[in-house]
Amino acid sequence: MATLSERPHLLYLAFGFPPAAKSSAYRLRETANQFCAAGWDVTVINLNDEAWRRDFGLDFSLMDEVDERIQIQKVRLLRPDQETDIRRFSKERALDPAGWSREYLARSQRDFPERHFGAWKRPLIRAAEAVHEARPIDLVLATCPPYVLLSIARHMFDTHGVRYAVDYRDGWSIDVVEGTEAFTPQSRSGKIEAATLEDALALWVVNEPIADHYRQWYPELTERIHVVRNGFDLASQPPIPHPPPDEQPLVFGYLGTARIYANMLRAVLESWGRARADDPLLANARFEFRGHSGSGANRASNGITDIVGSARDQGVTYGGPVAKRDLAALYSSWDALIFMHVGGRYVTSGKVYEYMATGLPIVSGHATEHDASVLLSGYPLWTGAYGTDIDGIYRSFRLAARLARQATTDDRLTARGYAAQFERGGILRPAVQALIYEAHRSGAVA
Amino acid sequence: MKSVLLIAGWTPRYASLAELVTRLHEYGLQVFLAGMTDVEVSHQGLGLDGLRSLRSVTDEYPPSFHRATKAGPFPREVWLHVQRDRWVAQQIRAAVAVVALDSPAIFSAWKLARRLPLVEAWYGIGSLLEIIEAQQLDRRARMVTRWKRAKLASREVRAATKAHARRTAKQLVIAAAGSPAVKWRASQAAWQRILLSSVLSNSRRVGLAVLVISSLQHAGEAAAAGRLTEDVLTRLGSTRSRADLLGGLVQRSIVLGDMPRNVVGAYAAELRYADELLARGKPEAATGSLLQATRLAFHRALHYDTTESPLAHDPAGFTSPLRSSVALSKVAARRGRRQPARPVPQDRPLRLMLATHGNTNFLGDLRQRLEAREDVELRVISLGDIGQAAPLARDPRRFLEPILAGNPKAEKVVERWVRQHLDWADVLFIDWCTAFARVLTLIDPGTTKVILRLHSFEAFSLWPHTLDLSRIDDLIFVSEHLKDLAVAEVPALLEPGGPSVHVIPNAVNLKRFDKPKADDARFTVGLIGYSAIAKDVLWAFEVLRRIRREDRRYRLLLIGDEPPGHQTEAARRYVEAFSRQLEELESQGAVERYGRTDDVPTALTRVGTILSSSVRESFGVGIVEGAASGAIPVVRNWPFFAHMNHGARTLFPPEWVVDTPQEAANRLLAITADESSWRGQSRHVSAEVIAQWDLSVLAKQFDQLLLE
Repeated sequence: MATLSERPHLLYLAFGFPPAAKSSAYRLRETANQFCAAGWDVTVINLNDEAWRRDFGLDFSLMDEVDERIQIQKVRLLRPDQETDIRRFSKERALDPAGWSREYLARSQRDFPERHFGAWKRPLIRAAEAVHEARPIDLVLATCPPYVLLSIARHMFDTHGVRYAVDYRDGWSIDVVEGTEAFTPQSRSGKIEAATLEDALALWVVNEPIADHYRQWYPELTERIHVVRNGFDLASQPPIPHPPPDEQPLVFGYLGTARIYANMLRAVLESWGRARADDPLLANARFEFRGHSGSGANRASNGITDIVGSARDQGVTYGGPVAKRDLAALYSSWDALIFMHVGGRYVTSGKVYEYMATGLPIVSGHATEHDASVLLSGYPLWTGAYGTDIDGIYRSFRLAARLARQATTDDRLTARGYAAQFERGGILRPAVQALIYEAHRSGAVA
Repeated sequence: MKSVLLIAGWTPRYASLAELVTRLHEYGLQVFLAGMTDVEVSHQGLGLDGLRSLRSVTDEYPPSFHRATKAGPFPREVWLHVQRDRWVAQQIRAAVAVVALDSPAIFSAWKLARRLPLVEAWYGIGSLLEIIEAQQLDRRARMVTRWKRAKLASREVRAATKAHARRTAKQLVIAAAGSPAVKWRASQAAWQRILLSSVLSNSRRVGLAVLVISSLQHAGEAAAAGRLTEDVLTRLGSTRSRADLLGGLVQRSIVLGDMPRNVVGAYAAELRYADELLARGKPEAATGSLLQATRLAFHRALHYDTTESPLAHDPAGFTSPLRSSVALSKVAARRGRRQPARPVPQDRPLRLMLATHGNTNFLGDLRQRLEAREDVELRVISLGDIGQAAPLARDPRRFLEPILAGNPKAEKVVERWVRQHLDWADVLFIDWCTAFARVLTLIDPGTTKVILRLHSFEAFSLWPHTLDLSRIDDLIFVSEHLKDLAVAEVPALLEPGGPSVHVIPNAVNLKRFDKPKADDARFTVGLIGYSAIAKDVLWAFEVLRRIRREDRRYRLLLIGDEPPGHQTEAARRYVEAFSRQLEELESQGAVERYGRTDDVPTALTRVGTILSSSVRESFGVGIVEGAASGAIPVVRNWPFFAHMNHGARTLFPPEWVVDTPQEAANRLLAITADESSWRGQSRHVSAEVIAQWDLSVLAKQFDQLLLE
């Protein structure tokens, strides 16, 4: 067994690492754990807790499964736009919030072309240098967003020759939600991306459509571009579900960070209301909406929570965030799930894997052409995607109600069997191993 | 009990707030909401412990307040309201936190936080909930502000003492200047000496004079009030002081529910002040003053919440100061268009764009018909479709001030967000002459033909006076009497280089109203739409009482919403009288409220006669719809137009029109005296109005204008 000093050292630039209650936290945690298990020392650079408290919030239960050997450097970098204590506002900001915001956004992009985060380049370089000074780094893995982290990886390469890899997840030059290019190759961002990826040992993205985009933009990198899907965590998987007693109303659940278009949510709620009124199987059924919603001043009060709140008389409730350690229990209390998400063919979402792992019927509230549909099409308890077609979603709810009452244990086991291929550890292990191999092959690690 | 004060610049999200209120109540906190929109109505069902529509009390504030609110950015306007509001001052005493629910409210919370070191100030409700859930509210506030508290203690005490003394003195003066007191002749002489005293500063003289003179007016001492006003005016040298006095008197009368005496003089003085500010190179302040002047001139208490209007009485005289305003002439300057409107295309469908700001009541049938045509490609736009140009229409100071400053920034915004619509459209049809219409015509329309339709309420607003008439090709009025009124106000409408003027009544598909009548319809009098005071439902009650004296079988069916009546004292009084009389008549079975309905034709099957009790109507769609259903019309000779060349008598067959409640009662009794004769007339009336005013007939006039 290698001694501590022999273990190679990974600097993992991972904003959103636990305890941040970000949807990416699970992937980041598993990646760091995998490196640790493979015999690496891992130092994570993350924002401090106050920054995440202001953003999407904190979930300390996420720390339960973080390998204790992982070192976490928390950098105190706050987004001033997420400040909600008015006593800390300047008079100029209080009087002209929009003007202040314009100026702040322009200022934030001077060092690096990324709104909000560009100004963090220098302090993050200082933080990475400090880690390197304390213990030399062998490999940098930058997971984005924010994309300013690319400049840190690049700096360590240029200054100290440290090789790096990039876990883009969704990608920078592609706007995955709109399905369009986010910038041109000739733009400042385009030039930075091209230069950074050119020397990267590997580029990870979460689905094939995004990988295709990068293969088209950078054909010379094709061999280094890998699809590393998201997945589900075994600890979040509930026991095999059973139909509720006949006299007990069904409970549908949504869990996520509410990345939903308002028109989609309205369509889902209208379909829900109609199905609930028409179908005896849905009599008195409830729809629980859980998860973080909004950041900064919009936390707990935004368009999404307002739309959800307005459907209260149809058995819809907004219950706020839920701790990761309570997920399995939450899923156990639900009879069917509603999967809602923005975007189309470039978007998968991490939540869909967790949903499939439950073995519960799933109703979709997203575009028909969506990467989640590609996955869900193999899941036997899925009721189909209909975009904002109210009749289609209405039929989905009714079918899901029937499945919730009538699906057998075998049906559910089959569904969970299909989902098993997406266990997060199983997905990330080969990707991490391949990257470690590449790091050794390239001479980054002796 | 401790409380949280929420401040909102925009309409707060309802459901999120409901959740918050529940949570805060669980923590034993009271929740109060002060908003710039009418939250007292929109959020009354939320379970809050108190609500304040901040704008509802602004008539109590002096003219200087109104100028200032309209001259600065919106967050400052919110603060000016919050700062002055007595209700807010009361609630803040027990508040442990102030929360700005949106960005325009931040400045108010920030200002309050600086004044109140022990109060938390948050933007958004998320952070507040976190703090409260951690049960840290008091502890944290004290921790943050402990050092400041010690420092501020003596200053706070001094300020509080002074403020208390000022409040007490003011209360004494108000009591002394109250209407019972000033009725006493000896006290009038004393007040005159005080008000004309050379030791008073102009601002104090004005403030005190407004109280005393308005009390005299309220007590019925109009002549004494007039004399005292003249005397005080001689002591006021500056344009601003004169505007303050006269404007203050108008506002005070509105607060007291009286009809103000010298509105024209007051708003003319304010317009002079606006021109003075403009000449001094202060366009921002001039904008505030111009808006204050038009606020006085077109205040709802003068024209909407009352059954008489000084403008309707003398449209040319009432609006004459507007025509001599330099500031307004800059806003309405004719900038022309480089190219004329292009003819209707022959090789493709006509691209027609309908633009309307909210109310689509009069577009429905016309729109349906246009959508069905193959030679028309139709698009409809509203405020939501013009991006960042929308705030200009919502808050007119945003384009008035740049115009007065000679700065093209508003035009640039409109160019960026509206040009694409103009480039697409062959014809732009703007329904309603509002700020939206003015914003759309801020830029050269290119080759697009621009048509504007004016209904009724706009004639009692600023907007017809601000139009750049060189950029409007056709102007449609829905009736001759509205045209008379508007032209009397804005003679430029008919001057060369302006639009072609047309009169085309509202086009409605009347055939769908032709349904069989219920058996007992003969004795049911219908009244469609009675929420506006201008509908004068009390006049209808009077008619009803007179016919019921003859026959108790007659009933009145009210179709539509109730009058809200909370915006001015005049409206409140009217609605109070309405409620009292309604209760009495309902208890006798004489009145039934049908409520609001989208299916008016079905509601009208129960109605045998249709009554128009209004003091003004643009065209009277409700009457025509009622008549099309076979309900025989009885139309009050709308008093706002009775003295003009055109009105109800020229619009409708003269036998329909009456001048007094007794004449109305007589006609109602006559036309319903006999079942077969009533049924005969009913059929005749229905056929007559459908032949004259149905969409199929009137649409030809629209086709001619829009498509040829």
